[in-house]
Amino acid sequence: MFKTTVVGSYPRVGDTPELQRLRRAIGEFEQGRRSLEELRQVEDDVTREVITEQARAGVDLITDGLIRWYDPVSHLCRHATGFEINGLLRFFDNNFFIRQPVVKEEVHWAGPSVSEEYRFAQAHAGGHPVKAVLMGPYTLARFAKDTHYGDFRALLRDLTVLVRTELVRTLEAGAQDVQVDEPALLEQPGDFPLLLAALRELLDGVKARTCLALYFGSLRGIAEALRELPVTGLLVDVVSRPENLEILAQGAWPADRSLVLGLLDARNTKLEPPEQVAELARRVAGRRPAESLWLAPSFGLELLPREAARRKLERLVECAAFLRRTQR
Amino acid sequence: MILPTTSVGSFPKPEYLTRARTRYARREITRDQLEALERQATEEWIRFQEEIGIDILVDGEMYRGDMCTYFAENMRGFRVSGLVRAYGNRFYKKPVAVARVEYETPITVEWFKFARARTARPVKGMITGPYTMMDWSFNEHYPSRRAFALDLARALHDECLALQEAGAPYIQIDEPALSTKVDELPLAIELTGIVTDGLRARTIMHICYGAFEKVYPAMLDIPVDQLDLEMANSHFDLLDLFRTKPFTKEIGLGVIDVHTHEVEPQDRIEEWLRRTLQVIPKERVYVDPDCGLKTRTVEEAQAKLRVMVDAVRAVRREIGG
Repeated sequence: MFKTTVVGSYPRVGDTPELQRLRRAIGEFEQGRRSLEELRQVEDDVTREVITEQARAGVDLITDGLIRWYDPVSHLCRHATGFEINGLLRFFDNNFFIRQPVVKEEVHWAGPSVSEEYRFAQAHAGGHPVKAVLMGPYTLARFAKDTHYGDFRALLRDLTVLVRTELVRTLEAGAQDVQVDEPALLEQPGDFPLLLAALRELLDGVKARTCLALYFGSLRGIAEALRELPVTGLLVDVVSRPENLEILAQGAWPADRSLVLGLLDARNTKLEPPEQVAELARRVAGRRPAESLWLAPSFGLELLPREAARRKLERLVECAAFLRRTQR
Repeated sequence: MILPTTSVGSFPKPEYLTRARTRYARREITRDQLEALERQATEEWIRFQEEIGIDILVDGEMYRGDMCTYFAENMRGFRVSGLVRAYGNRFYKKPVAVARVEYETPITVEWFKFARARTARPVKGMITGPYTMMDWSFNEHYPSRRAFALDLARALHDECLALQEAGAPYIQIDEPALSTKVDELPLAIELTGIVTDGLRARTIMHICYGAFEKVYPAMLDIPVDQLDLEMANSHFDLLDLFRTKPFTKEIGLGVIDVHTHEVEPQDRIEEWLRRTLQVIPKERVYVDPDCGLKTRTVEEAQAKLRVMVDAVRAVRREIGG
C-alpha cells in the first residue's frame, strides 16, 4: 500500500565534474573528439548510476531516468523515418525546450529505442522493478509539424502504429509495467475520443500493466470519460492543477484500477512536509483499496538540479512511509 | 525620425570574453580581470551600433549570464541552484528564493552609466521582469506565486527608478515567460503596474516565445508604452491579428529571426515593414530583432543588424521619413 514510483526523467548532470561526464562526452562527441561507442559507454554508466540512486532512495518502481532521450518528444522520432528534427519548441509552460519533429513523408518505425533501453535498465537494476516509458502517439502528433499528411487523424494513425511497434518490442524484452504519456490531451480535452481510439489500438491485446500519464493540465472536461481508458492505471499531476485532486476524490477513476498521485512538486526544489502530502493523499484514498494507490512526483525530475531530485525522491519515500504508519 | 532602430538587449559575447568567463568560473582570473574584458566588449558593441547607425543603443549585456540568475544574484533572498537542463546538452542555473526578496543595491545601473558615457545616442535600460523571474525561479520561501512575484515587482520598481535617475530615457522590462500561462495575464498586468508606477521614462515590455494569439488583445492592457514582439519567426502572421483588433500601443517590431544562421534578405525585411505600416501608424513603430542576439555568432549578429538598418533606411526613403 502507498507504494512509490517516478514519472520518468531524472537529471543527467550534477554539480561535480564527475557528475558532468555525460555533458562533456556529448560535447566531445559533437566536436568529433569521441566515438559514438565511447559516448554510449558514458550513457550506460550514467544510466546505471541513476538506477542505483532511485533504488537506493527506496522508490518501488523506477525508470532508467530517460538518460538517453534528447527530449521527450523527438526521442521516438529519431528512431523512425519520415521526420526531420527541427528547431526548439517550448515543452508546455516550462522553461525547457524540445526539438520539433517535422513530418516530411509517411512515418515508419525504423529501429529500437525504448525496448533496448528497457532491456539494459532491467539487466542493471539488480532485480528492482523497472517501468518502461513511451511518449504517446497523440502528444507526438500534437508537437509534430505536419507537412505531409495534411490530416491530423492520418498522422495520428501512423504514429500509433509506430509507437505500438516499439511498445510490442518492449514487452518482448520483458517489461511488465509500461507507461504511456499523453499530456497534450489536457490542452485539447475535446480530442478525448481520438486519444481513446489511439490507445485502444496501441494497447490491443497487451497483457502487461499499462499506465497513462497526464501532467501539467486539468482533468476538467474529461473527468466523466476517464473510466473508458483502456489502461490498468492512471498517473495524474495534482500539483500543477489542484482541482485534479478533487476530481479524483470524487471517484473519477475506478477504485479497482491503480492510481498514481503526482503529489510532490517536480518543478520546485522545496520539499513538502509529509503531513501535508498525507493529508492530500487521504482525500483520494477514501474507500479505494490502499494497494491501488501510489505516490509520485508530479512530473519527471529532470527540471530539478540533480541534488534536489535525489532529495525529492527521499522525501517521496518518507511521505509514503508516513502514510502507512499513520493509516487509520 | 520614423522607424527608430534598436535591439532587444543581448549581443553575443566575443570569444575572449567567453574564455575569460570560463577561466573566472575556474578561479584562474580575478573579478577585476573579468570586468575589464566585459567593459572592453561593451565598448566594442557600442562602437558597432553607432557605426551602423542604430538609433537607440543597448549595452549588449556582456556582464550577464542567465537573465534571471544575474538579477537574483544581486538581490536579497536568493541563492543559485545547481544545473538544470534547458534543452539538448545545454544547462543553466536557476535562482532559488529562500527568504524574503528585497532590493539591495542597483543591479544594472553602473553598466547603463558606462554605456551612456560612451555615446551621444540614447541608451535603453533593461531589466528582467518580475513575472519571468518568479516563473523561472524555484520558490522555497513564499506561500504562493503571487506573493513571490509581488515582492519581485517592488524590488524591480526600485531598479527602474535608479535607471531613470541615471538618465535612462527608455526602460525595457523583459517578460519572455508571460505568454506561457494565459490565465496569469491579470497577475502580469498587476505586476507591471507596480514596476512602471510613476516612471517618466518611456516603458517597453519585451515578450517572446509567444502564443500571442491566446493573449491578444488582452495584452494591450499591460501598463507600458510599447510592446516589443517577435514577428519575424512567425513570418509576420501576427499582422492578421492586428488587422482585426487594432494594436493600440507603440510596437517594437522584431524583424530578425534570432534562431537562424541565415542573414535575412533586405527585401524581405522591407516587405515586412511595408506590410506593418499598412496596419500600424508609422509614428508607433520601432524596429529591432525578435529577441536578444546572444545565441548567434558575433559575425551573424552584426550582419543581421546591418541588414536591419539598411532595410529601415530604404523604407524611410520611400515614405519620406
